[in-house]
Order: sequence, then C-alpha cells, then structure tokens
Amino acid sequence: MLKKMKFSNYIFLFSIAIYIIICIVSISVGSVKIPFSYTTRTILNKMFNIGNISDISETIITIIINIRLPRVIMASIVGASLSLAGAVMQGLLKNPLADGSSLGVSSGASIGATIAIALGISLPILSEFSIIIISIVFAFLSLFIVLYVVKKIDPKMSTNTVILAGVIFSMFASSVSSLILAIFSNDTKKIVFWTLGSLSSSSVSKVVIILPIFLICVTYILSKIAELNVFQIGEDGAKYLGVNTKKTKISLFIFSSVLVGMSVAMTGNIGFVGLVIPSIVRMLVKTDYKYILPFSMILGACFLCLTDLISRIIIAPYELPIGTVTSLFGAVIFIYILYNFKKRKEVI
Amino acid sequence: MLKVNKLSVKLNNNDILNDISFNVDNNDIFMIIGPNGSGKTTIVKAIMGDVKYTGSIELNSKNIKKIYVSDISKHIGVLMQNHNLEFDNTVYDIVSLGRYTYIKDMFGNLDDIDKSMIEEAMELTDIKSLRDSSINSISGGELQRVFLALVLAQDPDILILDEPTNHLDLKHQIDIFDILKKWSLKENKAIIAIIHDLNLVYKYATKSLLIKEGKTISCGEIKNSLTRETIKETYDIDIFEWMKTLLENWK
Repeated sequence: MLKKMKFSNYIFLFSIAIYIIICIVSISVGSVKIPFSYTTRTILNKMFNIGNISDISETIITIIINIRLPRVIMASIVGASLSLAGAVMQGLLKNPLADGSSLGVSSGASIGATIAIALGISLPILSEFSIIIISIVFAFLSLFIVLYVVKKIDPKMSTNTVILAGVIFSMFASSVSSLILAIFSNDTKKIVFWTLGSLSSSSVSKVVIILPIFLICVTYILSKIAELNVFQIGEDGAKYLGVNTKKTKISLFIFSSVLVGMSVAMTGNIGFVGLVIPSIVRMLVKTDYKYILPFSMILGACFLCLTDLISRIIIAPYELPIGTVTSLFGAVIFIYILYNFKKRKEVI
Repeated sequence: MLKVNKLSVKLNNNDILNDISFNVDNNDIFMIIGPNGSGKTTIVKAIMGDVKYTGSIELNSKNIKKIYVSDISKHIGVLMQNHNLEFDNTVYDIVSLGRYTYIKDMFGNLDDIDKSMIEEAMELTDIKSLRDSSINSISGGELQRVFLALVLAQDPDILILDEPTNHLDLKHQIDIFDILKKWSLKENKAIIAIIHDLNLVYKYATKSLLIKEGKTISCGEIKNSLTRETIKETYDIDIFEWMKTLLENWK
C-alpha cells in the first residue's frame, strides 16, 4: 500500500509539472507567437516580482497578461470544476457514467443562462453575477428534476435509468435554450456557443468573478472526502457508519451544481469533461477520494487547457468550438467505460 | 444495553409489528427467527430509525431517537445483506471505511488507533492475505468476511446482522458464526442476528425471539424460547419429526 501511495504522490507531482508546461505552451502559441522564455519570465515577474522584463515589448506583455493568461486560468478553473463535480456526482450516485453533461445539469444551466441573456434579466445589487446565479439555480433544479423523476420510475436508481433520464433531459434542455436564442436573438453563433462552449470570451474580470466561487466550492467538497469514501458502499451503508446521508448528499449536490452552473455561465456547455477525467483518474490512482478529487482537478485543468489549445490552432485563424474537441475524446471514453462496466456486471 | 419496549409498526394500516419487547445485554447472541414476511427486518429498521414506530427503543438507557446518527454508529454496527460496489476498491480500503465515525482529520486520514483496529478486524476475519486484492476479484464468502471486518473495525457494542450467511455454503456459515462468537466473548459485545437456519440458532444463540405475523411467539433464554412447541407455533412444522426423517437420510 505504501508503494502505491508513494506512486500516487509521484503522479501528482508529475501532473502538476505537465500542467505548468501545458499552460506555458498554451500562452505562447497563437496568432502572435511568443517565445516560451518570454512567457515564463513575464509571468514570474508579474506574479512574484522575479527577474527583469524590460527587454520584452509592452504589446507582448499585454497579450500574455490580459488575453492569454486569463483564458488559460479560465480553462483551468472550468476544467477543474467540471471534473470535480463529475467525481462527486459519480461518487454520490455510485454511477461511473454520471457527470454534469450526462445528467442534464449543464444543459439545464444553459437554459438559465440563455433566459437571463435573452430577457436581459439583471438581479438587483448582484447584476454582475446575474447570469451565473440564474445558471446555478437552473443547474440545481435540473439535477433535482432528473433525480426526482428517476426515483419515481426506478426507486433503485440503477445506472442505466439515471443516465437515460439525464441524456433525454439534456437533449430537451438544449433544444429549449436553442429555441430561446433563436426567438430572442438572430445570432446563430450564440447557439453554437451555448451548445458547444467556447473560452474565447475569457477576461480578467470574469476570472475575478468565478475564482472565489470556485475556491469556496473546492474547500467545501474537499472537507467531505471521508463521507464520499463511505458513500462507495451505498447510502444505507453510509448511514449505518454514521454519515448524515441526507444532509451530505444535498449539500454536495448543491456545491457541484454551483461548479457546473458557474462553468456553463462562463464558457457555455462543454461536454464530457466531468465524465472522462474522474474515470481516467480512477484507473491511475487508488479509489480513495483523497486522491481522486485533487487528481481530477489537476487533470481536468490540463485536459481543458490542452483541448482549448487544439481548438484554437487546428483550423487557425478560425476557432473550433471547444465542446467539439472534448466530446470527441469524451464519447470514445464513455463507450469504453460502459463496455467495461457491462462486462463486469455480466461476470458477477 | 439495548432495550426494546412495546415496539409496534404500522404500514398502510397493516400491523407489521405488534408489541414486541426484548432486552439485549453484553455477551448476548440474540437471534430473531420467523417465517418470511413476519417483520424481522422491520425490527432492525426500527432500531436504525428507518421506519416510524410506536413504543420505545433505548440504547444505554437513552431514547435512541434522541441520539445523533454519528453517535449511534459508535455503539451499533449493521452488516448488510447485499453489497454492490461500482468501483474497483481494494479490500483494505473497504475495511477502513468502518473507522469513519471516529475520524477527526479533515481529509479522512486514519490515525494509529484506526489502523490497529483495522488490522485486528482483518486478523479476526482472516482476510489479511487479501488486503491489496480488488473487491471485484474475490469470492462471495470472502466478500462477506470483508464486510464483516468493516463492521468489526467500527467497534460497535452491538452488532446487527440481517441474514448474514444468506448466500454462503455451510462451511462459510459456520466460519462467520465462529468469528462472531469469538469476537463477542473476547470483547464483551452483543450480537443481534436475523437467521433462518434453526440449527445455527441452537448452536450459537444465547437468547432468541420467535415472531409470526409481527407478534411474539416466545422470547428469552434459548433453552426456554426455542422449543419443539414454539417452533411448531411459528412455522407449523414439527421440528422433531422433520429432523428425524432428515437424520434417517444421513445414516
């Protein structure tokens, strides 16, 4: 066991190194090519006041700090959020196929966002947060509706029923948000944004809005590691071991809906991240949430930064919607997990 | 330790349990016997607060309804009937979940007491050699011992088992009850078990409760409560005649 723990620690350090490399590459590559050394030095200087960057032109510094860095940070936060939410939902529902997109939470959130945009809703005092808050509320409502309906149809909440209901709800919700956009705005580009997602509108001010929400959610979820571990033997078992199951379940569902809702409000509906990343993590490390949660976050951040980079350069100067790239990987891995899952069930 | 007094449960106007009373003390191996649908599992559910009931259930002279779930789990452990696991956990991971209620560390790290309790439970259930095996790669009998180790690691004063040896063969059934008996005597603990095999009851129980259609047929020390007459009343079977015909076959 000790061996595997050490092994996990090495992989963790390794993933952080990979993440930093991906960030530097992402910031450097684009229509304006920036040498890696410039990127590294500028970031070190602006963040930690290390070194001298007087030889780097103002324009390049502006591109790095105001355009590319916020985009990379946004990709990291959204990637980490979606993966973390996916890992939590999979744990609570004991369902390896659950995540924001397969349960319809993301699509539900995008209904909220499109309604807020189309009707120009602005909440008093919290106007900057209007779209985020409405998305989060719709995200949680969608999760609640899907799980409620499943519970009515199939009280055992079997994996297949949950996913079937989630996918159907997801299709329905996507159609509703496309319809809202089609009626209230004649810009079809927006439909693409909400159904496939994009990080192109990232900015420093948006990062400043979602970073604190992200940190609060992460702190709360990480404080529930022991509970998530116990949930692996089922809800009854968890209760008998002393978990306040109802409270834990609802609060964790709320915090993961916040993560998904916030991500959708910022970057549209980026599919499959929360499904793919935790599944890969489970193959790499011990099935202990002490490892699963941090690994899911760091790998989720890597994955979204990398897919964003691919979506920017593959048909440059145009951008591919990022959801196209994530779903391409996601769908394949989804089928792989489903295949293994079914095979194992048949053996038992 | 556990005092159940005039426990009654109604579901959709049907009496599921009617005026059930019993006591369980240290070192008791208390077995609940009765036909299918007689309300045995409902007694467990009532103790664990999963159904509404009238009457009272007291744990260490305190109304169990007023005790927090997290505190109940320090006194009562439940071995469940079905285990279905979706993920590829190791045996050690599953057994260590038994320590949840004692964990003080925010990230769920175990301390030395936790670790020694886990080792002890794995030793007692003889699963030490499986520690790093995947839960999906072991047999049904081993899996049941893993979950038994989990509840033993929980270190409850009372261990409740609902048909713990349901899908096990005779050898594994005896193994499980030998472990339980050893544990109860060594640690001064009580066991409540729902069980169908009357021979196992006679061999291991110190007290028994026979119920039929939610009503008590007999309750108390095993010698007085489990007799030819009470079994006849519970199952409509003459156990002596039945066993005699069985015995003939083994001659």
